[in-house]
Amino acid sequence: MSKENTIEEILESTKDIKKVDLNPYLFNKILLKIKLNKDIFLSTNLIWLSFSIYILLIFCNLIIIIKIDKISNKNEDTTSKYDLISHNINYQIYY
Amino acid sequence: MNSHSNSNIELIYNEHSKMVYNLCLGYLHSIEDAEEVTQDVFIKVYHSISEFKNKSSLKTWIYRITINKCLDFIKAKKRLKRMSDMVSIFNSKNELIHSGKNFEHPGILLENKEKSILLFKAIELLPKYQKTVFILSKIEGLNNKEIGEILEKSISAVENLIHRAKDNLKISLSINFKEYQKKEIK
Repeated sequence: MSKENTIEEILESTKDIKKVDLNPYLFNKILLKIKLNKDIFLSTNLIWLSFSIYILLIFCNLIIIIKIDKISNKNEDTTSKYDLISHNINYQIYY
Repeated sequence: MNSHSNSNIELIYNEHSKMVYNLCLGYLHSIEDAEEVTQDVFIKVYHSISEFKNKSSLKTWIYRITINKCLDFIKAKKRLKRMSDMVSIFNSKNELIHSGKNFEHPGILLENKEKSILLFKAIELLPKYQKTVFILSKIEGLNNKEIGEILEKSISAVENLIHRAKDNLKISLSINFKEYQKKEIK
């Protein structure tokens, strides 16, 4: 028998393949797994919702941090002016 | 879990479980793995049935879930094998996760068993789309239109994939041909 013919036969070896029956207890196993997993199962919508809330929180935090930073910068400006004045007051030279 | 959803999943299971299990067997070449993935498929169906929008038939939808689950399972197993290979470099006592056994499909005719072992070995080496199309066509016995619907591809694309899969299988079978001849002589 030639090589080509044998390879063709191998390729056709799944012809008339029979459907295999399942383990009869498989459905009970599935039900049990569903019951056990129900409490921890998260739908995709819930995952997206929690992810967007997380991003929103980070965004809010960033805004607050930037605002606080700006306010503290402003405060620093005024205190430095005050420092300058006080410095002048304290260390001014009188002739 | 209420009784209504319970009976729904039971109906779906009774109608499609054989198809799911046999498709898993075609992909995974292991009865234990096929049973595990079949369970995962129906758990996924149970949780996602509300997302099914009748754009395709229920059978097509379940086929897609099964294919994805099988491919994910193969990917995870390969990752695990890579990890075990890495560990075995440092510890020679570790056993390999994949034993590389010859898979004898329980549904194959007796006279074709030896040949099908070689075929299943060669199928394992195919790229995922070619593998899927070949399994759906030659093992599941679906026509090109049905395969196209499942994979969301045109009929000509499916034909092309089957043709490429056959070419690749012929190449890998011709490489293993000598091994097969030796067995035949014995």
